[in-house]
Amino acid sequence: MTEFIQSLFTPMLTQLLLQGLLETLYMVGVSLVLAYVFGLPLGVILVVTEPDHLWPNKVINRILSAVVNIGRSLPFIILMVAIIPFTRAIVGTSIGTTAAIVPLTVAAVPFVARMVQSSLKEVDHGVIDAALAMGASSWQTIMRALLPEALPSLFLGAAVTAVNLVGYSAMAGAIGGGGLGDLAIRFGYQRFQTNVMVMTVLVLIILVQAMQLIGEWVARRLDHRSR
Amino acid sequence: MNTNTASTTSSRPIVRLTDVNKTFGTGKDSVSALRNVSLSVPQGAIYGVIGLSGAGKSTLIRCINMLERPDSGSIAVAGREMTRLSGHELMVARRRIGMIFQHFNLLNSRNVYGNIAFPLEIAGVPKAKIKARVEELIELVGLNGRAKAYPAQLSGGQKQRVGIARALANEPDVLLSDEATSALDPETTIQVLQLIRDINRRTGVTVVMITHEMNVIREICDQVAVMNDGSVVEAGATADVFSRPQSSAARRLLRSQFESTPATVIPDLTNSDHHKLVKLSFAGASASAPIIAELIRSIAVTPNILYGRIDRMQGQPWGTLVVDLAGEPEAVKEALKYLERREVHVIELDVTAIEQAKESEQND
Repeated sequence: MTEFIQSLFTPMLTQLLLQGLLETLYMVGVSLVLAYVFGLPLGVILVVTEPDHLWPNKVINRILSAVVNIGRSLPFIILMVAIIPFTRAIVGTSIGTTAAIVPLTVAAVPFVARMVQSSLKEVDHGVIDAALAMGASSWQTIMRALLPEALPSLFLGAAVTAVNLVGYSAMAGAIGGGGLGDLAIRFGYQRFQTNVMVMTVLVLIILVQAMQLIGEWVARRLDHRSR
Repeated sequence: MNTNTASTTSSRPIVRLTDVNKTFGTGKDSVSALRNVSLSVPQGAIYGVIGLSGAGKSTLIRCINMLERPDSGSIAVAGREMTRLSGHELMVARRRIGMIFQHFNLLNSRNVYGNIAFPLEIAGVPKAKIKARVEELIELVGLNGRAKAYPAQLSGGQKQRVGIARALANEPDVLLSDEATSALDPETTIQVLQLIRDINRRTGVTVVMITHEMNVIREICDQVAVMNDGSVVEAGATADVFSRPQSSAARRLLRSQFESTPATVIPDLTNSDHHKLVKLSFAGASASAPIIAELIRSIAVTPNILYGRIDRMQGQPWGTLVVDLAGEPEAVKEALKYLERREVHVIELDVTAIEQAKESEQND
């Protein structure tokens, strides 16, 4: 037993875990940012094209909603393989940590769009009325009223998205993406190194907890609705 | 329709609606929210629009700043035809029309200062000017020291003060009030109404307010329009509409306020030459003079007071009495003339109508 516990803290394993953690943070961090770069506008469009909103447009709303649903219904592992040519066209290779960012981003964009949509729908329509009545343009209403009002909720959504991306990034390990998930599969699962498996899972648990807590903390700091 | 206009304000209309129609939905489910609505609001007035919920008043006020687009008709605000403005022109025009809301609609993510600064930022006012203007407005609405508070930390009355300051930031020609006091308790309602009246007097901003509460109209409105089922059924000076309501909708709204129909408290009476049942309304100077006492002293009638109450209208006492004048026919006639001379509104009550009212009240 003591031997096993000692095996959890060898310098080599620590080195592996640290490298895996950094790779995971890199993959999740970059794809999270990129997913919001594309997903946030999509979420905004999904909301403002609804009837009685800023730019009511049934056609755009229906089409976009259908595309988002298709994107969300594809299993990640299938999507990852299916878009290999696309990935190669963008990063020049389909293998490695950087290459994994492409499918991670593509998978997260529709998810983010829905998260953003539900956050923005929580904003009271009266606030939009007020902004318009004060002479705000639709753009000003979105940028200065709708998004700031939804900010706490948007951060909670970002935490959920980040946690989801950690899960997806483990699968990305299957195409040599690296990261903690890859570590667990290669050493823990395929080579029966239980110590690596246990430590990887532990680090993942701590990582997910930390992401959720940071999201909630930021949301609370930004939320002035009660205090 | 009563086309009486108030004499207290200048007659140049700043808001004029002509034959405005608006229908929601299509086919069988369609609802006519506004039917040929025309009204004109004189500059500097506090103009009330009253009606029961569903009468169309909310649609009406939202049409004035085009939050709701009418299907037909014309809406002119400060000489601009709102229905024909382009997107950008409309934005600019809206900056000259402030609006306050029943649920305040403040930005929870901004503090008091930020909320009042919002319309100025939208209009592209430079930062230094915004600061000066916001401080001035905070002072105006009596929120000194609360600039950094967030809406969640304010009471309903304070939130509406922020709403008022925000609506006035760009020095509008017109202030629209959409049930602004309906979410407030009676005492706060009075305070907010007094603030609105005060601002109206000081800045000359025209106020158009919709409400379902008669006491709001009574408290501050110079003129009132009564809406029923999408139409304006009556409009005129508040005192006229209150003392001589022409439409059944106005009478219905007023009944809860003033009349609590005397029918139930009036004993069975027969109108004869010796008895005259009259409703007397005292306002302004006549409210504070001892008219009944002088009546008894100078004319040989015995007024039997059956019902009475005193209310306030725009800060003035406003009395209502239901009196049975008993005496010789000549004396009764003379008494009526005397009362009219003393500027008391006299309405002869029809006994049969009262009997009917009694019955319908019992059936209610």
